[in-house]
Amino acid sequence: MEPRNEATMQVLTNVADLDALRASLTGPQDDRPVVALCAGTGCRASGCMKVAEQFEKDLDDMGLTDKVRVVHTGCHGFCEQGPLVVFRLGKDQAVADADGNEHTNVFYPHVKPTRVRKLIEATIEQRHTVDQWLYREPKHNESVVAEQDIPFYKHQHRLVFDLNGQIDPTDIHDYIAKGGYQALAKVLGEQDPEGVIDQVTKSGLRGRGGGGFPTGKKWAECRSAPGSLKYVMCNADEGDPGAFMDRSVLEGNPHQVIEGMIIGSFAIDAHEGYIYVRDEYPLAVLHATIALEQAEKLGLLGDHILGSGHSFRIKVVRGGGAFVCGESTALMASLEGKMGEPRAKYVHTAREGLWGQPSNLNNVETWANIPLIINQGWEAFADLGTEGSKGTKIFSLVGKVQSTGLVEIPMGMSLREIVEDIGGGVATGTVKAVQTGGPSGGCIPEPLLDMPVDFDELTRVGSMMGSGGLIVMDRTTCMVDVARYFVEFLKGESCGKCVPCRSGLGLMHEILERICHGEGKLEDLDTLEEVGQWMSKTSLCALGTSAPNPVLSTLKYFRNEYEAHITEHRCPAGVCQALITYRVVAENCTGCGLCVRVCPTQALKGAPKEVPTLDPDTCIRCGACMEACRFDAIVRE
Amino acid sequence: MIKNPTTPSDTITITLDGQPITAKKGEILLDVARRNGAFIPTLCHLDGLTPYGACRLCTVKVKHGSWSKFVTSCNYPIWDGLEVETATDEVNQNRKLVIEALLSRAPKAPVLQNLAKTYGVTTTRFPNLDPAEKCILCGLCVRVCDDVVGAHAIGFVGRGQDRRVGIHINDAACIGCGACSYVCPTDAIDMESVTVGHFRDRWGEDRPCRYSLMGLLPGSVCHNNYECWRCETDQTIMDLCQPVHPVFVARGIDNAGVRSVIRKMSVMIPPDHEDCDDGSTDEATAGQQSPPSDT
Repeated sequence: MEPRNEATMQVLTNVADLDALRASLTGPQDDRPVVALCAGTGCRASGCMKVAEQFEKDLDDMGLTDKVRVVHTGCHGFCEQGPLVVFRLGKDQAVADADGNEHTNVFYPHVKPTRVRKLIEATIEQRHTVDQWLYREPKHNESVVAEQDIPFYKHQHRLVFDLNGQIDPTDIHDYIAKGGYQALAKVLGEQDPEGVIDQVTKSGLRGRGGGGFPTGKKWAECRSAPGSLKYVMCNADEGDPGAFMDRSVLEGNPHQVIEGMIIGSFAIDAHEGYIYVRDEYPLAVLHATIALEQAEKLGLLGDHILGSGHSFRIKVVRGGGAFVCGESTALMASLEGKMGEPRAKYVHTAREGLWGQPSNLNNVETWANIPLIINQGWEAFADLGTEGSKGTKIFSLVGKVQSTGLVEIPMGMSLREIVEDIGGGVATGTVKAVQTGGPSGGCIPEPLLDMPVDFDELTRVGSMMGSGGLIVMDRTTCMVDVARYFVEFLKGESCGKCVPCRSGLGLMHEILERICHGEGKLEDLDTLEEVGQWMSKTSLCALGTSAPNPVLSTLKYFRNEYEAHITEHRCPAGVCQALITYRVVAENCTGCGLCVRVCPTQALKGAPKEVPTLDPDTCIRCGACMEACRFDAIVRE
Repeated sequence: MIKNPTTPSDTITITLDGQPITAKKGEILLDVARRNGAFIPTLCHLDGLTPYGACRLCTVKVKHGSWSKFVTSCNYPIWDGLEVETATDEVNQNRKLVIEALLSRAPKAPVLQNLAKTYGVTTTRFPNLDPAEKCILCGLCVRVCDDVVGAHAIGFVGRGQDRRVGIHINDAACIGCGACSYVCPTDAIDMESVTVGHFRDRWGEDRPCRYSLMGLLPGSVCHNNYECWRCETDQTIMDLCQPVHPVFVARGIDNAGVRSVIRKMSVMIPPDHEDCDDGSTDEATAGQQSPPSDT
């Protein structure tokens, strides 16, 4: 696929060529107003491509095609508000809001094709905002004009994600214009591999895939490992339910990942690289493939990159969909064409990795951090964060918070700030717990939310950083049900090779199912703890050793909920269907009959204008009646 | 923390259950421990096969200063100064749970009943999903077929609790040697009645003798409808190769003397099978060093 930009695609033979290309890309045409239209997977699902078509058509009809630049960017992170459109305007193109204040950045959520014409007219021709379509922040119900003033974005610190909402990921020139491949030029032109490793080490960057292993140390070990054939790999097999930061980075800014990989290959002295990306991410696969093609055409991949002595090529390999293939040794087995199951890691991947050769595997986000460290200097990177965790981390903030999406925060920010300031808190008032680290992370109770986000702190309280899932729970979340859900997921994803993971998850799931049905025994809790400890001590890979986390952490912090299920046969959150009943409150009932109509099993019976009766044996406890009732006449107990 | 092996040449000292012992750097912990008299049970380990680390029964605790970790001894390379605990309460507790878990899967397997008796496991809390199940997924059959036989005829399919060994017997890869059945610690592979039956269907009338496919006999035809228990050739070769399975002999793993006797036997064998012409006996050179030991 050719880039839309008309600039040349000639091979860059040295650093000066790259600088010249960049200079040619920042000409007068870029003073046009920009319509940054999110074309990430989330917004595509909510219909952004129809909005994009409408923009093209309307701009054409209005004769503005050449006067406005529409950029189909990657994910902006605020997917629940999609399709998102951001107008970025020059100072002389500023628009006025209802109070007469001028803005050069206007953010519109939930854009529909029918709104496009009016948005263009108002913004480009009449120079004012369309107030009724602006974003309204949920806490105070006030409208916000600019992207950077929205609480969800305001409290973030976007480094890795910085370019995601600005560039077209299918056009390498966009990335180059914004300073892309400058770090590579710097490294190839002025630095030696040891110097690069030294900077990465001093920056304090730790692996973003979950393990948190110091990246510089890993590179140094791989570089010093004996062997002439070495490999560099990018782990884009993100499989945690509800987490999509790696997808968004690879989709929205693939060149930053590729640049990081080229720099890494130079530091390690590798000449072949792989991006292992799950096949369920078709857009990420497509954008990575396009990016590789374009980088090769410009000579940023291939032999003698930018006229240096370094040669490097990358292939995209699509994963077959097993969660466990995100584990490094299983990923390599899968890359080698074998069944994706882990093996012992007593000899590091840096020494014996892919096909038995020294290899280096880093996560998408880790690679995307590398150009930043080189460009800004390791000092700037190390200034950000805590003692043991530097830089920023992208989290996928979901659950009961008001604003969900991808958030990039500096390490050391407290979980409470993420939930309250960025996420806007929970609608029901108080947070009960926050689950971090994906399915095998732990649940952190509300009193501990002031702890800073840091690899070691999260591990200390029984959870983990993982790849960055962050699920917020409130009083309507049953912690036993949460543990049951994650154990069920992991049970289905365990490869089954080692006994503790295979059998342990089976037993845990059986016990948790029983407890959720009110058939648990108190000694089951001891068994859960015993089996959990056994699994974390003796399982073969990180999937097995971390799998008991959801159970062990909820047992530690929410044991009373387990006990309520067992001894009182009661689900305090009202979630476990076997333990809840619905009741009709006769004094509130108006006899409207709505509940009778929505009941899928005819458990509610009653003539119009009469209080209906509920047959508990037929009721499947779906809650449809309670949701439908407008008079609080049906309660859950 | 783990020092990786360079070349297993230099002599180092490790502490095994409190006793200092010397060994070579990079040697596998299980070998060193057993050589020095430690009792470490295994189910998925067999000398000569790639270590697998699936049963976790050989898990021991390794320590160095304040650092400690549970590792599987069957694939852990040792390093200088390592302290190893092979049978503390903590280690045995892990083993008991492994035995308990496997016992629920294959309750009748003698090897598991013996282990349960040794470690005092009397009941199991783990659910039994299939009362007829015998396989404990140790992977010995898969690895013997890959590493020794070289036929790659079987492999794992499914994942998690649905994991099982898939015997692609109709696939032309299987040579009917029965090594999988021979190494199975729980007798889960019924070679004679089940597997050979499939094998018979695959070949039709012109059936090559199993031993010719293994490379032990020059190409010959089976006249016994693969009812090997009636076959004189089968009996003779089985007796000659005792105590190892003939395929190990065929792969050069054991006993040159037996091979020469088998070669002489070829005079008694009926006429050659067309597709399996001679020259097949000299290929017994696969590079396995040690004979299989007891599990």
